[in-house]
Amino acid sequence: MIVLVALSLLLAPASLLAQPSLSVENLYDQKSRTPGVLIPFRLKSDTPGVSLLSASALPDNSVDCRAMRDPFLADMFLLKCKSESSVQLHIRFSYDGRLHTLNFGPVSVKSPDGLVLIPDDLSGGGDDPLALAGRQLFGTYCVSCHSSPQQMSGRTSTQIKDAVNTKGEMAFLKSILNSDDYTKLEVYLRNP
Amino acid sequence: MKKRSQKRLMLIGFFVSIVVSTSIAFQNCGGSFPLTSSGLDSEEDFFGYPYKSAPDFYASMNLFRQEEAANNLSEFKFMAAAAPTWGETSIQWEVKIQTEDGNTVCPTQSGTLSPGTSSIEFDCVSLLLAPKIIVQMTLSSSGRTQVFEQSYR
Repeated sequence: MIVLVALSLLLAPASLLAQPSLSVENLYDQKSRTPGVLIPFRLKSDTPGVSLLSASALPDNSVDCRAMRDPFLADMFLLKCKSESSVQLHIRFSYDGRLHTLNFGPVSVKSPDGLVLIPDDLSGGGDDPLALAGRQLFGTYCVSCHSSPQQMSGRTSTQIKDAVNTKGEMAFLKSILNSDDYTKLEVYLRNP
Repeated sequence: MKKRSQKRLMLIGFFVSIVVSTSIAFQNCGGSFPLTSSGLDSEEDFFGYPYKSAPDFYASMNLFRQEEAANNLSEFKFMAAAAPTWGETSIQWEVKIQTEDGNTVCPTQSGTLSPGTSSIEFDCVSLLLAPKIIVQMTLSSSGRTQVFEQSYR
């Protein structure tokens, strides 16, 4: 029996057991890995025939962090986190006609200390004074946690007020925002 | 009779060993083989992938202000990340910050990113207060040039 097992292992084609030589290169240094930034990675291999299929952030592309393969560059994938995170990446690639997986990480994504992101003009809002005021408020009080206003698109003043009243980390806004401010935020978030 | 059962046992043992060795060989392989890429369709909003064709450089630019500072673009920190997509090489960069009329908000900054580094940052105290400013970053390396632009109000 043992002889047979050993024999069948010996007879198994070497290619079935072979793993390609691989590494993952992070193209951005630690300082550049901040929330809201598309962070690029390259799957490097000296072995011909390795093809990147997909990448995801564990666990399963969460709400805060996701990864995707670059649609134009076959060996590249990108990670984006909405907030500070330490994330594991799950990479799937094909080699020799079969699917393989590789885990990489943790990758640390960190905001610059003591700084607040200024939303760019693409954040929209148009020229409506209410929307402009809402954008100012968003840039002052919201963007440090909600780095992408697009993610908050469509929130109503009632929903924002509810969040302020029920979520501990937003409680400080109770004494800052008045009912006009909630309206301004709603107008801005209609088309952020 | 005994020989026949021995033979049967050996045959079963052989098949079991084949199954065991195959499962060892394929231990890193999943069940399915989806060769379709993870496309942009459903994820587009989350990622905001900005490139319309294969980029020569990956880059992102952001302006930050101090927590306690006024939110009026009078004083801010420029922070950018840049990396070439085709291999490790140095990049020449230049950042212009101007008004819509082309007036200088901050003196133009330039420098070189050595291979393995990606961060560009400098402080800006606005020379004039404009309702809208345009930030333009030009990256060049090995004869390739790409311009990134963003505006702020």
